[in-house]
Amino acid sequence: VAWCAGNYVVRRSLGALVLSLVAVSAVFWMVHLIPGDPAINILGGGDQSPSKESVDAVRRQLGLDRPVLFQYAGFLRKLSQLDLGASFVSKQPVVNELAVRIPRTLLLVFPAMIIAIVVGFPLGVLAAARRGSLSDTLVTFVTTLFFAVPVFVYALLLGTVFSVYLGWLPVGRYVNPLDSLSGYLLRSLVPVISLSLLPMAVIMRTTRAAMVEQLTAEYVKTAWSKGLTFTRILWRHIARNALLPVLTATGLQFGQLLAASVLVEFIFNWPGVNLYLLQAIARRDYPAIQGVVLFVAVSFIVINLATDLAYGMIDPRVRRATKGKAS
Amino acid sequence: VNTAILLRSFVAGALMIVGSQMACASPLTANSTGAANESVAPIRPDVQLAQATPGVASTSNATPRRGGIVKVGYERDVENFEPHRNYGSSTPLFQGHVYDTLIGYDLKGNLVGRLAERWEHPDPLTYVFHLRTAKFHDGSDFSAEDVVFSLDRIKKPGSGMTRAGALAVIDRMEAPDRRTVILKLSKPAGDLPVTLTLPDVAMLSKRWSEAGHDYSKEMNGTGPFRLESFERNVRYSLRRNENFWIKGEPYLDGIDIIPINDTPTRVNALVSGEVDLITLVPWERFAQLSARKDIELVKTFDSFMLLRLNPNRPPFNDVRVRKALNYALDRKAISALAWGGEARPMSAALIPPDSPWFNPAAANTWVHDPAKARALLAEAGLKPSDVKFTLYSIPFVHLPTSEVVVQQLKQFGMDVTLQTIENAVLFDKRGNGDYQAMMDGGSNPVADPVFYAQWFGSSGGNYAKAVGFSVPALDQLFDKIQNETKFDTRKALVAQAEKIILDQAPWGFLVFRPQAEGKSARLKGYYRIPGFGSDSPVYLKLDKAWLEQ
Repeated sequence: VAWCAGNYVVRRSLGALVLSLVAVSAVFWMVHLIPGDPAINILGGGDQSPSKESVDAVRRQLGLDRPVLFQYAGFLRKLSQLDLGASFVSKQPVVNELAVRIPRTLLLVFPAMIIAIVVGFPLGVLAAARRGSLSDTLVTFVTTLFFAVPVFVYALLLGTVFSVYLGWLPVGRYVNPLDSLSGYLLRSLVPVISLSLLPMAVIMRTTRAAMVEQLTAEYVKTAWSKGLTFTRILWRHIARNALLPVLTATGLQFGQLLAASVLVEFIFNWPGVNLYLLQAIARRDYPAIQGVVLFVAVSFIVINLATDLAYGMIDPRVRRATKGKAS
Repeated sequence: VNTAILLRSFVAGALMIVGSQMACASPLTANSTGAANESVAPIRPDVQLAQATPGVASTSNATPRRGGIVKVGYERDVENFEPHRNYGSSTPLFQGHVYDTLIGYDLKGNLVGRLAERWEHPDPLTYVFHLRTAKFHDGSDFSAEDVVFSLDRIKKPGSGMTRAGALAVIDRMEAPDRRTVILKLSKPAGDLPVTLTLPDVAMLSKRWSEAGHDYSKEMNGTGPFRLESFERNVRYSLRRNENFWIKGEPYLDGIDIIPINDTPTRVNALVSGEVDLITLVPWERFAQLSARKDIELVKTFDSFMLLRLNPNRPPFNDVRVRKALNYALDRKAISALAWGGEARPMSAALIPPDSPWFNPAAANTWVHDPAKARALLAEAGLKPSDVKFTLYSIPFVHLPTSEVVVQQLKQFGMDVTLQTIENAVLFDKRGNGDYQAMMDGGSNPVADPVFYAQWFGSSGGNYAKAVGFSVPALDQLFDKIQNETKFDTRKALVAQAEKIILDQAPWGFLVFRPQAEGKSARLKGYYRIPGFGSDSPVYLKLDKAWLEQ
């Protein structure tokens, strides 16, 4: 069994590797083919048209004077040694830049995900258990709102209300938790909550739908007839069975959050990986763009893989099915 | 799935920019403003400047108080330490407080010595600078060899430094002693002193550089503040230089530059007291902020919106079409619709009506006159609908102006297509002259009409060179303006040049747009001088600022 599971993981990982390579290659060609010259951007962003000699000198320094195919080959060769090159703008290795920025993004995304699960899942169970009641309607209404309104709207709204009108919280901004834990907690509150609302709504809705489906299942009737209390049936049996679709949604939402945090990072000047990507695109910082894309691609693949594996842990039926397929 | 989501993240990014930037329509960030001049105004010390407008400063009779750290909410990341390349307004704000220049301005806009105590111009090809005693932040003495090293670092061929072209006239440099530098020029350059005021002509330490330090990563200047620490995208902390050559200055203990890209968040940070000064307040917030006692707006109108036309591509290869376009535009409506009525119509060329260089005779050249526009087109044998072109615009800050302009020209009957392109693409097209018409913003780093040469002189790097706009008579006038010293004579020459420019109508001249900083009322002594643009030596200056108790 262990060998089979191992085989499964290996196959999935290999597939993941190929997918990452495809993604990062696609981005390589995309950024090299779109108009916009990194050299002109480096020479002061084109405020004054720099002389041709200067532009050529910078292009040579960056290795952009070689044919793109050569550049691609060089890129792959370096990539095979896990070298993403140096940023055109800061001259620092992209790997180092990512190592600084990825934790900052995770400091937004992890807490947001935890809030989304901790609030969304129980609310979904509650709404399903009291289908048609006022609380169900209320929860459904609020989550519809969270679905419909884009994150930058409530990010700004919450920021304005809590920091300006009420003055309860400092304006959201990144503070290194190692410098000041309380500073980080206070300033990350609005960004994290803004980010958590959409996945919270998704998780709540998915939970509710899955629960409603389970509520009418045969085993529930059996449980009733055995004289179990509703609370026990709800949490021990139904909720557990409803967990699978919720887990899928959670995995997907986590990936989405990595992308959605771009808006929150911009609004709150949170110097994470997405703000880095945005600035890199604007300046045509090719190595930085490729680095971030690789990170996002790998994260997605890892999350999907983890979700698949978690299925097996929660539901023995999936484990058996996977084993059957693998062997 | 992966590709879809990657695409999503790109789209999300684009949407975010469009969404948040458009929603607040902040004035263009300075790095995309597109107007820094490579060579600048030819003011000699003896030139009559006739600066009518004193610095916009928070003047107070109170004695400056020492102490305190000013937090600046800046519109973007500082991003670069290189002192000799221009990065728009971050150059005066960041490098400008750490480094010093040979020459600078007083609060009235007159040239004054900084690291050069005084200078002489004994013949057209010679400048002699007498240096003052100053210390670099590492404790070493500033001397003549540092001046030679710094200027050489800029003008070296292929250096890629912003003022390489402007300093190319320096043929030879001599340092007869530690306090004197003699510059020998290859041709007369009356504008050299002004070039030496620009924040990207900073004085660096030769010895420090030779010890292996890298100016693109570290800082060591003679300026009022030294770099203490920084975290990219988060905070840049400058602290007082205790050995600054002006005794008793600066008053502040330090400046913390905090990048806040998002405009509403930046305004919120000021309103909630998190920061003491913010850049680029959007016009939508002017009324709200002016109404507050604890906040002051510092507003100027030195940046303008321009519609670049390519005089060597149809339909704008006919001057009558270019002029017709100018008459077909209603600038008051542009101000009202795109700038909340806060922008000022450009009735002539680039000199605003409150400048001493303004020529009243040229005022009201551009009025909304569709009949005249139609007549001009008829003269060229065209109907309005024959004028067909694509207008490029970046998709955020310039977009409201572009939309109003396109709407007006369509109403007039022209066949205009609005195409939005990214900043990076706009830089390329602008640099290569690859456009029929392009919406852009501009400003000039110093308050002197010689900046005209950078736009409209045939080798002007800001416009003419790229599109091949060349009027020999204009070039001759620019040469004369550069070397003339008497205010009245210069003013007359400027008026002549302006007449040619207006006759040629190389652009759609649109509006002077408002640009404002918001600051806490506690912050005193912050200054900027009208007429000087957002990458000038006198923008975002805190060297004389202090915080009231």
